Formats: sequence, structure tokens, C-alpha cells
Amino acid sequence: MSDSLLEVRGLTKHYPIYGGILMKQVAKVYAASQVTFSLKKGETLGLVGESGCGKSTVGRTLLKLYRPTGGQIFFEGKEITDLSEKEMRPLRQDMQIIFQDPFESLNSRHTVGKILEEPFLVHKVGTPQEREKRIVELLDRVGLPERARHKYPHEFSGGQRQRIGIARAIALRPKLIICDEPVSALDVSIQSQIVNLLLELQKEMNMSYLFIAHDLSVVKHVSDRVAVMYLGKIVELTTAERIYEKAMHPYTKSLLSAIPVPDPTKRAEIQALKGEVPSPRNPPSGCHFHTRCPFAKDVCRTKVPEFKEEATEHFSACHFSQELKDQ
Amino acid sequence: MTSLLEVKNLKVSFETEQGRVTAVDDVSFSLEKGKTLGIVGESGCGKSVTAMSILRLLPKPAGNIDNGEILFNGKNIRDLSIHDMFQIRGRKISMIFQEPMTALNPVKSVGKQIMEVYELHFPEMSKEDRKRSAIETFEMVGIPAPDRRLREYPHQLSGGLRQRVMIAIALACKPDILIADEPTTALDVTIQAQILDLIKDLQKEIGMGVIFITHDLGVVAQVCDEIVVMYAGRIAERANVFDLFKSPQHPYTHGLLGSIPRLELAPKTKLQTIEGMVPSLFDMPQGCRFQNRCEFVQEVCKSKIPPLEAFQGSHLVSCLRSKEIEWSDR
Repeated sequence: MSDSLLEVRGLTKHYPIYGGILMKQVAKVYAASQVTFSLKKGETLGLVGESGCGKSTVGRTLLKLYRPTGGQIFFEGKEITDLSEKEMRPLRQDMQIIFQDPFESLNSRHTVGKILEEPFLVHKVGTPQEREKRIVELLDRVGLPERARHKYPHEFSGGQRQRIGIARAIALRPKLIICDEPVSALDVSIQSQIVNLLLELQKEMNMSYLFIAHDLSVVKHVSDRVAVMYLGKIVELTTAERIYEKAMHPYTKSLLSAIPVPDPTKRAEIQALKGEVPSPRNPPSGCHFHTRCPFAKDVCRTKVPEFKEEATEHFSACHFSQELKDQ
Repeated sequence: MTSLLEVKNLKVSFETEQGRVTAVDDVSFSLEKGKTLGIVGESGCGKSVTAMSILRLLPKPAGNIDNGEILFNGKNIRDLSIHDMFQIRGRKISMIFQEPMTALNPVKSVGKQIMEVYELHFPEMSKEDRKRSAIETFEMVGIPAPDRRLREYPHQLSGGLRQRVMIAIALACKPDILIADEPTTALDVTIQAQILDLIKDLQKEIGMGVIFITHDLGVVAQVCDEIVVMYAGRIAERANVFDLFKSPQHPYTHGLLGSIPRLELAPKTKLQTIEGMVPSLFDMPQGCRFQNRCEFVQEVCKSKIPPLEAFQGSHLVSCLRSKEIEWSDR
């Protein structure tokens, strides 16, 4: 496919756990297993799931910040899975990341001007005058005053710091941005400002986003397609409209029903999922979700459900997708 | 009839290196038995400080209640001695916090921590009785295998279980009032649903009044009867939950409700926003505190503090222009 920017096939990341006197590997954390998806130019794929489901691991492994255990990553048709750090470097201009807490990801001893100049210096882009001009442009584009250049990160509020993080990410006009919980730490009135900014920038620069968050209503709002993860695996993937209207997987359904609706006339008896997410160190056999699934049958305990297309552009990994889809 | 809790004209200030700042200004509300009051607002709006004042847990000597009354069953908490406060905290009014990991003691087993409550409030109880009550309370909040869990330490429990332990400790003495300060903010949405259900069920069982402090309008819509919306230390709007969500009158409440990305909205559409940000406590404007972000601002808003007045019945709003603004039907 020519308009595909990113292809991920069977991406797997297992972290070893070392223990004992000899510090041998004693176990593994199955952080992400067999994750497959593609991302088109200008498209947003939302990656949603609860803590520990592996969504951030996927984002960071994609950027090769972690070395993948298995699978393949293609960026603009070229395989980057086994590229060395040196070979990756020119590609990093095109692949950026925005973090949840911009305070931890901005150097507190550098002024905002210096933070924003760094991408240009690292990639040897522009003359000092050109860089100067771009920094002013960037600040203006993300809604910060020019004098912000001379200030330090701690002088800004959470929302403003996220704007600085965004300015740094778009500095080199990347093609892909991994947005890792970019609005989770923000107040709701600020959250909507940042969501709108991200949507505008995407249109202007035709960037693709992988938008990682735990909040399904935010993810659904910013994404074209949504992938739901549970214990390291994608359990459902379809368009944003369908995930809300026609969810098939029992986990997606319970996530949707657990969101508190901001409308007191719709006080549903929430069908809270029983129990908690099992440890990714020792995931359940068969379908990982069977320990909490209200529809689990014997087959779910033994057989791993296949992730397959159950309707047009609608993938689900559940033995009973067809039976459950209308419930 | 006196209310279970009545807060009248509460004003709280803090001494800081840059001078004295008022964190809560002229806040009044009441809570009835068996009801849930929600205090909503964004970071720094004074919602947690209000809660801390009720329990007289403001950091000393920096924090001070400058003015107002806090009437618990008609008695002003501000007049009580420290000794009397011990009798109220944890027994009559208890509190649960956002992050149970920092609220629980990491070097004591959770069993010991809940039994301490009985030791303090019911010194006549025998050790066996204390243990039995602890197990019963753990069972009540849905902790599986409670006798085994008693021996465990906070770090051995998951986030959801830790929050259940904290709720168990808060409810050990079946208090009249439970103050829940962002109790589900740090939890995953499926665990949040479990905890909200649990608080609702326990409220029915014990008949306590609950003050629910949160920034999440979805949560308040689901659990609260009355709502106080706070902005920059003052009450912007106060109403019962149905009126507030059906016809919000304050431009801030309106903006907040519009900012939520709702599931039924089409994807990738522009969200309504409230431009700008909350003014700093050190630099509060004269007049209405929302003036710099309000699309309906006029000259009068910059000089006159809007009083909290009845819009309709018990629906109160503090906006000089609320009666002139016509909100289109939502």
C-alpha cells in the first residue's frame, strides 16, 4: 500500500526478569505480543487499554527506544526493525514522541529556547538565524508568547509545558508522532485546548499519530481507528465510530460501559468487570481475558482466539465475536 | 431541622513566602444525611482545601481558617478542642484520599492499620474483637480472603485493593460523613466502576452523607445529588445534579461541560474550550475571577464581585450576567 506510513507485523516485546544468586533469567514479562497494525499518512490510530496492557511499550518499541523481541516494523516501506542506533538517527527526524508529563521530559536547566533549538542542532538543520526564526514560529504556532523562550520549564503550567513538548516534537516537521498519554495529566478545560491543537497541527502538516491513552472517550475523539489492548495483545481494532457503536469484544464493551457518562439522567447500573487485570508475568492460558469475561466458556480457557476480520475493517480476537456482536 | 453538615462563608488562607493567599473564599454548602454532595473543579480551585478544613487538617501554621462556620450536627467544629477533634476524625467524619499508597503506612500491615482505628476509638474492645471487626469490614468492602490480607503490607496489594483497604479504614467506625477526595482518579476505569459501586452500596447500608471531591464531571453525574462547582477558590454554581447538567447557568460550568470529549460526538471534531487559564492565587483580578476567560465579560465584571444568588429555587449561580445570557438548548 503506497499511502501507508507505518506497518507493524507481529511486534513482540518481552522483558526478562533476572533472579537467583547467578542472576539468571527466571521469568519474562509479556508486555506486548503479536501486535499487528498499519498507519496511513495523516491518520490517527488510537491505542487504548488499562495500566500495564502494553500500550506504551508498543509506542516506544516502534521508535526503537526498546529493542523488539520479535516481529517487524516498516516505516515508509523500509524495514527498520534491525537498524542500529546510528542508522536510525536520520529517521528520527520523521518520528517523534510526546509524553504524558512534559515536566519530566523537558530539561529543567535549559530555557525553552534552548530546548526547542536542540532538535535542529542534533540534526544539523539551518543556520543560527534560521533556527531563531523557526523557534519563534513554533512558539507562536503552539500558542505561547515569544518571551517564553527565555523562561525555564518550571515557570509554566502543565498545559503550557505540554505545548512546549508539542513544539519540540513538530520542530523538524515529522511524519509520525507517538502521543503517549498527552492529555491525561491535564484539567479538562486545558485538555480540550491541547486536543484541538493536536487535531489542527495534524491537518496542517499531514502527520500521522499513534495516540496512546487509557481514556476511551478521548481516544475515540481524536482517532480515525482505534485498537483496544488487553494484557499485551490487541483484542479489537476498527474505526472510531464502530468501536463506539458496534464493539464486538467483551472487553471493549465493558470498557465502554465503565465510562461514567456526564449525564445524570443516564445512570446505568454499571456492569463492573469483576476482578483485576492479571499479571503480565503469568498471563492466563487461552484467551487472556477469560478470567474476567462474563461470557467465558471452556474453549476460552484452552484455545487462544485468532485476531481476525469479523466485519469489514473490523478485527476482533474472541471465539464468540459473531454471537456477541449484537448483544 | 439541622443539616448533618453545614459550611457557612468559609474563608481559608495560606501564609507563603510571597505573602498571604486566599485559597477558599466565601464557600457555603450543606450536606444531608444519606446524600452525596459533589465538589467539582480543576486543580487549585480549593476543593481539597475545603475538605481539609472540615476535618481541621490544614497544614499548620501556614493554613488558617479566617472566617466562617463549619456546623456538624449544629455544632461548630471550629470551636472544638484538639481532643474533641480526635473523637470526630475517623469516627464521625472520615476521609479517603486519591493515592492510597501515600495515605497508608508502608511499614505496617494493613490489618494493623485498620485495628489501630478500633484501638483509638474503642479502647474497651478486646484484641480478638478488633480482629473480628477488621475482617468484617474488609469483607464489607469486598476484599477477598480478608484474614490473609490483614497480614499484608500496602506494597503487596494492587491499586484497587489498596483503595478498598483505605475505604475499609475510613468506614471502620461507620462514620456519619465520608469525605472522598478524588478516590478513583488514580484507578483504571473498570476498577473505578467497582469502587464507585462500592461507595454507593456502603452509603445505602450505613446511611452516611458523602462529600465527593473530583474533577471528573462524568463521576459526579453518576453518583451525586447536589453539586458545588468551584473556580479559583469561590463557588461558581451550586445546584442539584439534574438542574446543573440540564441547564448550567455559569459560563464556566457551561465551558467545562462542553470541553468533555463525549462518546457520541463525531471523531476528530473541534472540542469546545475555555481559552486561557486560571489566574494565579497571587494575582487574582478584582471582580469576577473568571473574567479573563469568559466570553460574556463586560466592564462591570471587572470591578464587582458577583454574589452567589438564586437563579431558580435552590439553583444558585455567581455571575452578574447569568440572567441576560441565553443558553441555547443542549
